[in-house]
Amino acid sequence: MRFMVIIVSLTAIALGMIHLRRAELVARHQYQQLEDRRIQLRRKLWDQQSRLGYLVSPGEVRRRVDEMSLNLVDKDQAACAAPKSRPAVPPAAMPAHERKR
Amino acid sequence: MLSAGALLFRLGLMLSNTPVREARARQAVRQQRMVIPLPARPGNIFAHALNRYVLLAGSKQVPSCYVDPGMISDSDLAEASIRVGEALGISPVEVQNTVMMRRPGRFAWVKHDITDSQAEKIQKLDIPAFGITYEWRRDYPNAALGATVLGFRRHDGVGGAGVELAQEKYLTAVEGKKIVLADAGRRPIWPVLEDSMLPQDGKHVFLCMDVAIQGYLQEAVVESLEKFKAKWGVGIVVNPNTGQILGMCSMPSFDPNEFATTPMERMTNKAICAPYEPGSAFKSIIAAAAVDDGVVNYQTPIFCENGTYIAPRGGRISDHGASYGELPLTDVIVYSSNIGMAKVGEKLGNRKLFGILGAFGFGRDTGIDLPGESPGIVRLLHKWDGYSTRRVPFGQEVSVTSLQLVMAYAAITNGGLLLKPRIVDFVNDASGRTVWRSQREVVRRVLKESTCEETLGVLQQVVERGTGKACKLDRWTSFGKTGTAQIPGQGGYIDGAFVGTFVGGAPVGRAEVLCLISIYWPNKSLGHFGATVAAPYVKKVLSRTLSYLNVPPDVSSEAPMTAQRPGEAGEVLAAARGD
Repeated sequence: MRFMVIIVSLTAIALGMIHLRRAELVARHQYQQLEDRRIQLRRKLWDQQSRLGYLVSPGEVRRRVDEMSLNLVDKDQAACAAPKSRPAVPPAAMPAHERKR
Repeated sequence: MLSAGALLFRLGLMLSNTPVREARARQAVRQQRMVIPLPARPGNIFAHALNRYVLLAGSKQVPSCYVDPGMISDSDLAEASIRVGEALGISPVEVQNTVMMRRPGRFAWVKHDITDSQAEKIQKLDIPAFGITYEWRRDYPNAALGATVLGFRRHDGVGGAGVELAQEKYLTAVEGKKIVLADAGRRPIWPVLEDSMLPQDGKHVFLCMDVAIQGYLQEAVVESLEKFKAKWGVGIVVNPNTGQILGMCSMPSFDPNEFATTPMERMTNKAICAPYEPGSAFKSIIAAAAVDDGVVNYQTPIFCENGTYIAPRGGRISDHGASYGELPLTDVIVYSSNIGMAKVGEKLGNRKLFGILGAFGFGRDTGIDLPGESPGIVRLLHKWDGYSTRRVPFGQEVSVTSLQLVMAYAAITNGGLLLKPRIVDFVNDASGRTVWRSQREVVRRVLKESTCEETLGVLQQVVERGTGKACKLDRWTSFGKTGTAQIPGQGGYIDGAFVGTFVGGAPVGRAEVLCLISIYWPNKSLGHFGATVAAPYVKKVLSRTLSYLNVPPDVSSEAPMTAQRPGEAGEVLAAARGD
């Protein structure tokens, strides 16, 4: 009877170990696959970043603006072309409390 | 007894075979273990675009196809070449030749930089001799924008010039490695996580440079180069209060994507490594230092010898055709009189002049975080003579880099502090944490604040009524100084060879931007003075930059407008009165 208990226990331990071993193997395999996937995704990410860099580069933006005939001008030219804002108020015309400040 | 004897015998056998066993064990480990490199990306380089950032340099991996010629037999070669050729879109003959020519070698490239779909097709073909590997490629999306500052990265991944080289310690990535146990067919079956190492991506470098300002600067310098058919030109835009370089270029430039086919001279950042005589642009620095020292003040009258001065042991000095009598020091600067400055030199003497150059950092590196900086040329004091006394004050017998010159002007602009120029703003690691941030670094005080205020007033007059009128801005007050220097050759100055320079900034009261443009060896018949070849372009850069940075105008451009439309003025006055 005692032998039977020992044999059953040992069998159970052996089965448990086999199960653990199998689970570890599966986990390591999954890890490997995930690692490969991660590398692929990183490669894709780097590629996308680079493409984005090209798309938002000033040269490319300007090319597309020209292509779409938007006739945009930079701020400096815009300031000259825009209707003039109100002239600076001469100090004499300022209210007294403003002048003090 | 017998079993004890057998045990001893086995023990002896084991001990005697230990070295062999260890060698076998090592061999087994070597065969079972496989090291798979895990790619780590070198850091990116970014530049400002007002409040966001633009990628200047980035890395990515591109698939390439290779072949192991030893793994394919002659009988299979023809068919394999056809299939691979079809997948890659190249001639099968080309594939076949690659294999035949590299035998008995074990590696040859079939095609670099293929598309992902082509790589997939090759993998699906399942021909053991042909494989896909990934290579690093550095991309520069902005091409020539800021290229001489940015530099380039060689194909082996090492920085070749500029920021790429100077910031190597941050940009470099550390590849990871994965250890796996492999079967007899070298297929990975068991990753040994304990011995593996994660990859460490390089850190990202963020420059002080702004792509828009850099663009304005490059456009202006190129425009001048083309108009005056000059050999090369440099430009720098700096924030005089912080020492941050907002733009720096050396034209003609290059595309870092094509660095392998570019001549070296185009890749040189001449703004920091090509010293030249500054000419008249030097006058205001010496004058400011002389005023600071108390030797003269800006009202001190100086007799300018009516255009020609033959100095005792100092040679003949002329005022480039002009004839001035007695001028206050202010007008010596405003009208850029060589004779006036020679006399200031006489008052200072060689020792003080030499000290001024040293204080402003001429003759030594500025310490900018870029490689290959030249200290310029300042001769040792004991080699100075009477010629030096009269010529150094108007920018001869001394060579400076554009960066040194603009930083000296920055000192005049910011109240007398010589700052260390900086091109790198901060460095972030791959997860976005800032690991290093540059700080404003004061090298030394070179002038008193009061002297700087006076000098700025004089420089403003240069733009208002002097040689720098071409840099007068419509909406901001501006200041600056022209410089036209001859280019020295062997045994004297070269006939008709000049460098035209203009350094200018705005607004006068609280300068936000300082810009220098130097045009080297323009065609004399088209123009060669700093006032012609550089000042109008500095004006363009300043005007566009100040608008871009939203610096409020300090000149009321509305006045003439109001005169034309009196109705508007009435409205405004009424609004101010609260009607």
